[in-house]
Amino acid sequence: MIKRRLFSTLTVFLFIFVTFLVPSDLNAETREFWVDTSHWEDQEVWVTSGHFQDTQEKRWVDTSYTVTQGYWENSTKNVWVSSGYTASRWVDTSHNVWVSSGYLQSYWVDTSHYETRYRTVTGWISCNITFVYQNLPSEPKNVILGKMWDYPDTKYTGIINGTRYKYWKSYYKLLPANNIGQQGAWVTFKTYYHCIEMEVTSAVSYIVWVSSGYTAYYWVDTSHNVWVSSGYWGSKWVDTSHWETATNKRWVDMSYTVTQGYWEYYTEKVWVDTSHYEYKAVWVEDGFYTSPLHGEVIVEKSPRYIFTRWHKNQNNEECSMELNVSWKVDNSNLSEGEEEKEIVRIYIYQDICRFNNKGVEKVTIFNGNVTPSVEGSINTITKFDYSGNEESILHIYLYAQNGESAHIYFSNPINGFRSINLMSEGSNSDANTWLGGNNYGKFEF
Amino acid sequence: MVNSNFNPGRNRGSVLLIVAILLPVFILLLGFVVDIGRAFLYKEEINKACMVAAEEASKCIDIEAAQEFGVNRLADNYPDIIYEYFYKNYKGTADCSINNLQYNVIESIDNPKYIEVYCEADVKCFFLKIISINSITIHTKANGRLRRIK
Repeated sequence: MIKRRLFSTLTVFLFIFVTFLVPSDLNAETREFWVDTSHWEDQEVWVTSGHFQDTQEKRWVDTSYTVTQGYWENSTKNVWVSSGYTASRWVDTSHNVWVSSGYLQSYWVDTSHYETRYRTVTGWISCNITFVYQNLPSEPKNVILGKMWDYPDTKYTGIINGTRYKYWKSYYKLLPANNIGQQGAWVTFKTYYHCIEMEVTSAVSYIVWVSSGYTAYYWVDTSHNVWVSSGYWGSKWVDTSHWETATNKRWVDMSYTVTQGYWEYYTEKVWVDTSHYEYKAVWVEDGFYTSPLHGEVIVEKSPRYIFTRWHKNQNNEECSMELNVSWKVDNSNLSEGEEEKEIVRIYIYQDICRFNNKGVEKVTIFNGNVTPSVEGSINTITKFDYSGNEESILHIYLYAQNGESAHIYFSNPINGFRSINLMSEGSNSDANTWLGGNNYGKFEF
Repeated sequence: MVNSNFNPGRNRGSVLLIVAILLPVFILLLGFVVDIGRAFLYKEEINKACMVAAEEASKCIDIEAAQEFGVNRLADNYPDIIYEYFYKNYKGTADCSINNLQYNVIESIDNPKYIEVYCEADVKCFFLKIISINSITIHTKANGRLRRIK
């Protein structure tokens, strides 16, 4: 009895002790919980489909038949009988052969002839030319007397104006008044060159006999015909072919074929294969077990309304989304000896639910390790290719070193627009406004 | 039954007379068709330019305001876009002169239901000058509106 009481008291004590060991505000679940990351994924699936189709076909039913008949006919006809024999005979191949021959005969061609040649002869001929040379640039002043001094006995030979002459000189001298009484008072004003002979060069022709010639050749043709006697014994076919009258019996075939038939229509079932690949949203079950993690996450999103990259901002840059994720892990309620929890990996992605049932486009914004820290942040810039409705969700996963994780998600529609032409009556509806509008949030987990 | 009054020699030259009377009428009709046809061609071309200009201007929204406040407000430069895309898509010729290119934002810039681009042009005539019609005035209008993808 005492034992049973002691046992029940111990059990109650243990229960109370364990209850106080686990702080209730930390969701201190000692077991791991399942983080479901299942998602839809567009996968190419082969869809086998088809159907039988009745097709009307046409075929020819041949009912042709052959009637076999005929008769034997005796006939007489001329037949060509090929016959003959071979007879030997002398075949004379004697013939003339033209022998080409000859030789070269040389002869002297004399080209000797008279030639007129020329030589130059230089000699003197008489002339009567007077050249005057003025010794002074001008006549002196105060001339009171002038006189010509001739020296015909003194002959000179010299070149005047490029021609050789024989000449004598005379001088015309003047006496200026200023020179009277001085030595050499007479001044030679002009010198006269009286040419009496001039040298002439002329060409004289003469005739000369020039002996010359050369050796030439001509062809003496001695070609001639030669009779060559030749021959051989050959065989010759003596044809004795002739017509002979032959009688024979032959079958005259009178068979004939009757061609007939008709077109028959029939129905055939044809398998029309419409199998094809189809993109189908397949639910991919994924996830993992992790233990609870507590803390807070601040998400700052800029701008508030997100547009696809195909739209440009004022700086002509593609529209994008800037996302800043800050975290702070609450380690205040760790049990004794428990390792401090740090965020080691971040996984951020956006599921874009595209319009017109075009499926879900998954855009990975960040998926990687970060420096292990209790408190930290990352900044990402993302550009989206496709627009999505309000069901588009941005997921943020924070992982601790032991696999614990926190999952934050919020709606993040992606806007896109285009322009259209309207009919002339226009439109009464207001301008479209944009989806979204959240820019930040503080999440506790 | 043979008409005994028919005399071929008496009717000679009547075809020439009819042709002489009707030929100017035919030429005038032909010219009318050619000039009106040209006017329609120009109208079609200008209308295409107006449509493109209206479409492009509709997309010219203040993207900063859209991103921050979620509103659809036209940017200040939308008139430039209208002119730019109109003249990119319509190459002026000597035969057609633009008299007037107007635009109108229906409702307001802060709530643009649609943008209306209106153009008036004069097309010079070739043949109708004969009857003192020197040009044909054409009018065309196009509406453009921004539409959120949904």
